[in-house]
Amino acid sequence: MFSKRSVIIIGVIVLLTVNVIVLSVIASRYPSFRPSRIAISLVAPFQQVVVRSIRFSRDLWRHYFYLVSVSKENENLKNALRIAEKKNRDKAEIALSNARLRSLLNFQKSINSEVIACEVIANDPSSLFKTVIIDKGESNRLKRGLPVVVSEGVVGQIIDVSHHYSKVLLVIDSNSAVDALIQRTRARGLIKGGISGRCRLEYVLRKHDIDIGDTVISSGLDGVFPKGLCLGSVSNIIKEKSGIFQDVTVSPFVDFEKLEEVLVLLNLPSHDFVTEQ
Amino acid sequence: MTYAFYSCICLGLVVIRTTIFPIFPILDNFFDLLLPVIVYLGFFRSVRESILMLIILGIVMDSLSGVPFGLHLASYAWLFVLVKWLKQFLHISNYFLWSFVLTLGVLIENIMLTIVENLLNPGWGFLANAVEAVLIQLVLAALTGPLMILLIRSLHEIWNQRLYRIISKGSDEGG
Repeated sequence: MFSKRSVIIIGVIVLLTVNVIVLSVIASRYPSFRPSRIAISLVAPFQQVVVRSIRFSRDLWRHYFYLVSVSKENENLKNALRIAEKKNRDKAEIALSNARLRSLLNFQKSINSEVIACEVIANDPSSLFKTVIIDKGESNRLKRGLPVVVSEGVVGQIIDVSHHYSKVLLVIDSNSAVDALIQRTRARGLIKGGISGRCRLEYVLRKHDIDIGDTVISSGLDGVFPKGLCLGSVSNIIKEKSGIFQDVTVSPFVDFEKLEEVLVLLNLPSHDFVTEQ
Repeated sequence: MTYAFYSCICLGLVVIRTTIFPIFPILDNFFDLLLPVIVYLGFFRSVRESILMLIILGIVMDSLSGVPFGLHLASYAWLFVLVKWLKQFLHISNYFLWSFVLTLGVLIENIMLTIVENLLNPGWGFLANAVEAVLIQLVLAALTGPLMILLIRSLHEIWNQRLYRIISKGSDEGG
């Protein structure tokens, strides 16, 4: 009834379809595999050696062969330090008044957040996905789901852990989602990875007032990231004539191209009300 | 010892792709560097010798990447089957054929990725910059692929010659 060639073509199509379905099922049900941890543990030390060698060579160049601009840079840094010290004094004053107001309201904020510093040792081999490997793992009490931050803001969260290394899903990856707030207006939305290293703030109602330049922070409602961590600033807003949501683009504060050291929050901060004595 | 050669080559390629290429933005969209190894295995090595390496390489790449687990493994397997099938009626020493097969490999990997990601996240689509990235990958695969396959082939021959010399020297001293 069918020629041998037709049977082979149909067979290949059926096999391909089954293959894709099986892959989807495996990926949705089992996000982490044991062999995956072994492979990371085997390859990561070599990646670590290469990255450290590259950084050592780069630092050697910067520190010993590139001293011409160092004097000027030193002067600029001293100026920057003076400005930072002034800002620090201002902030200390604000913190003191904040503490007084808090005690007035019988409200005390206690943050019990322990952090661990990690070094980024490799990027994702696929250019379409945005993950990095860091040099700490289960032996340092790291586990899946822990938030990863730097001083500029949120980096991402740990999605896989081996004994000495972990894989971090960056917020700019299309599979990442962080519950967020516009700092000024408290409008809520969901930060998702977008194109060209930018993010999209989804599900923000049209009625909310948002301006370009507004800061986006984590809301803390996703149970992963503590409230108030910086995510980025609004860089574009599109309000269609129809629809209930507006299309908001966010530029992350973190420069993911130059990510070298990160902090993992081991236990999330908790905000407890102190009962009046 | 052949597996030791493949392990060294693949480890080197993976480390280069994940640590050195990201430093240069122009190389960040380079295709999967293990695809030329798979094409080489398909064209020049036996199924028996290749199958174990194919599985190991697939698992390693799936582990290091954020892609759904099994995707690299499956695309390597399909590419290997395709190369073995083409080998039956095409002249395998043709560099244009190597280019063509490697671009097909890049396409297979990206098509499978798109289908699987769309099944997992229906809103994923195929982003505009992803199309650009895949096009760059195809051009790079067509241009640099044959050179990489040639390099792997030459290195394997050098490896085998040195190994043969060491073994024959050892047996001469022993005998």
